[in-house]
Amino acid sequence: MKIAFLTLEASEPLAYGLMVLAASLRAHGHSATLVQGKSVDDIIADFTTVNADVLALSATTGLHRVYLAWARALRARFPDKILVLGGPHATFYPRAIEQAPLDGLCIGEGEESFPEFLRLVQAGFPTIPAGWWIRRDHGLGAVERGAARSPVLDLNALPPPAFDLFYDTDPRYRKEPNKSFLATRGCPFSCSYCFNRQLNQRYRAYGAGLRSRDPEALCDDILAVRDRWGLKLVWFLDANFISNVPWLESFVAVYRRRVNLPMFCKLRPERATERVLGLLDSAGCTGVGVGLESGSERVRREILCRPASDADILAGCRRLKARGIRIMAFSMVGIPGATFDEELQTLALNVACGIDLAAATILQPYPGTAIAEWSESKGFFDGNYDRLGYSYFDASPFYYPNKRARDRVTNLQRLFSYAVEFPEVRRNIRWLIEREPNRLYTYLFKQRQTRGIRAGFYRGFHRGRPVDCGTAEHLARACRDLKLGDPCPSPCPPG
Amino acid sequence: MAVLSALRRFARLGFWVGLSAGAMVVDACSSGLKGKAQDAAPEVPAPDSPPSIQLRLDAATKRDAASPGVDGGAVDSDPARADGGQPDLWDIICE
Repeated sequence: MKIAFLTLEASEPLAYGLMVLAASLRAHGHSATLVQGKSVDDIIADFTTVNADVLALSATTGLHRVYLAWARALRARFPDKILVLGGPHATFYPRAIEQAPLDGLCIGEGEESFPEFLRLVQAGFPTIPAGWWIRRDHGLGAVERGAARSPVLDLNALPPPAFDLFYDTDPRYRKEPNKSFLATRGCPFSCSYCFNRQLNQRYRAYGAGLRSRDPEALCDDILAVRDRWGLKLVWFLDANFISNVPWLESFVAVYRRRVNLPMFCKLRPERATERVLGLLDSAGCTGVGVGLESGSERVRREILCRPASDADILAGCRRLKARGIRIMAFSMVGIPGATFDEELQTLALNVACGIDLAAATILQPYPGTAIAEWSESKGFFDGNYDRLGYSYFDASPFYYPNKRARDRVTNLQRLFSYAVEFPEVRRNIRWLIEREPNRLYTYLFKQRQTRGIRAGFYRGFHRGRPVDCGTAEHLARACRDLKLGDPCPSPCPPG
Repeated sequence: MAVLSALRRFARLGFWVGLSAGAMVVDACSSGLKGKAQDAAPEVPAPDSPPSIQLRLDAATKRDAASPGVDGGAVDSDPARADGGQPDLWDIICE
């Protein structure tokens, strides 16, 4: 069958999952292509869409509103085509199938279940495919639920991702000097705001924890991409690249011998031990992404379920910066239950850690996450996921006591990275965020977010100079700038 | 050294402010032109079809400014009062 993956042409990151899914479909004898459009009219007018047998949409929560509207329009235009939805929103909010005339909705990983769905849909659904919810008569029938399904247990059994899906379709992705790869699936942690927590619970029964690819096969993919589309920096998308240290050791040995290009990966700073850093060092790691999320130990421990201490985070960043590795940090503002001073502590921790690019998002309660359930039970959120923004830079969906409190969160997110880099901004941040949200703040954020990442990280081919940071004194100084009390009750590393 | 460092910092900050202000003006001008064109060809993207992050952010700013249904509710965001002063969050959401 001819399958067309339909996606919004926007400033979205490349959807790696679609490339893996497309490869699996091709291995089963189907064809898989990508259609990008700025509106559903673009999609409908595309020759590939018109010729396809199956129209496939993949939605994150927030953008699901766009894709469900697309599904309704596509069904009106193509009443006889097979129309399916997958992705994180479908996985954690499968009732979305009631909101559009879909033939099927894929829950979880689709590499094994999508080909089975296609076989059964052609036969008129003699059985319901496991891992899918379906509606017969092209979305007119009642919802029928298939059994739960195991995720892919052996990633090495999957074919190499169909990198051409994006790189041959869109020059924006092809011309970037960095290209993305995924080495693992799963995450050993249970952060309250992340869907991996629920996936861990679902997949535990199947014995599917952290799954890793064979280092040789992974390096085969990297070299194939380098040779065909060009590659100067290898960008690993894994949430925690260093989770499995024995695997990391074997990977680094292969990577150094066969690839030997600069690389970027994400890790937890408190896990950046000397042993791990030695490995990243020899692999040519020039930059890392770390999740700081909140500067308050209480918020991290009680609300976000990330119990690392300030001292451990500071020490990890200190070790990274001592080796000249650039750090991009992810933090969240607008956390329900956090006080405003605790939000400012997040700024202080970013400063003390010597973060090169501080990216702040506004916490969104995604379906299936513990924080969504908790915030709903506490009255911070009404449970209406259709109110969530298109991205985590959008407005906070939580209730606030007044508009001023909401505006503070919006402004803090917009000015966050400036306050981390510039002491002059930091010292005046309380005044700056009391202003009305305005277009200049929005543009300041946009420029920083796009150009800062591009210049400092997408083209981060070399390490920076070693920097001294990550001490109790650095944190105390940042707190003084922000007119905060002592945030570091636990022992901090010596200055 | 400190003066030189401060000057460099101000120059960097000025670069970002100038860049952002410039982009804002360019976008304002081009959206003004687009507005005229749209009168002739009303193919405006649907509200749920943002072509770029820019529109999403603009929409977010507008929504922030006009969300009376969300703000001003009876919800108390003070964690001490909201939770009766008990640190029960860990039991509920953290393993």
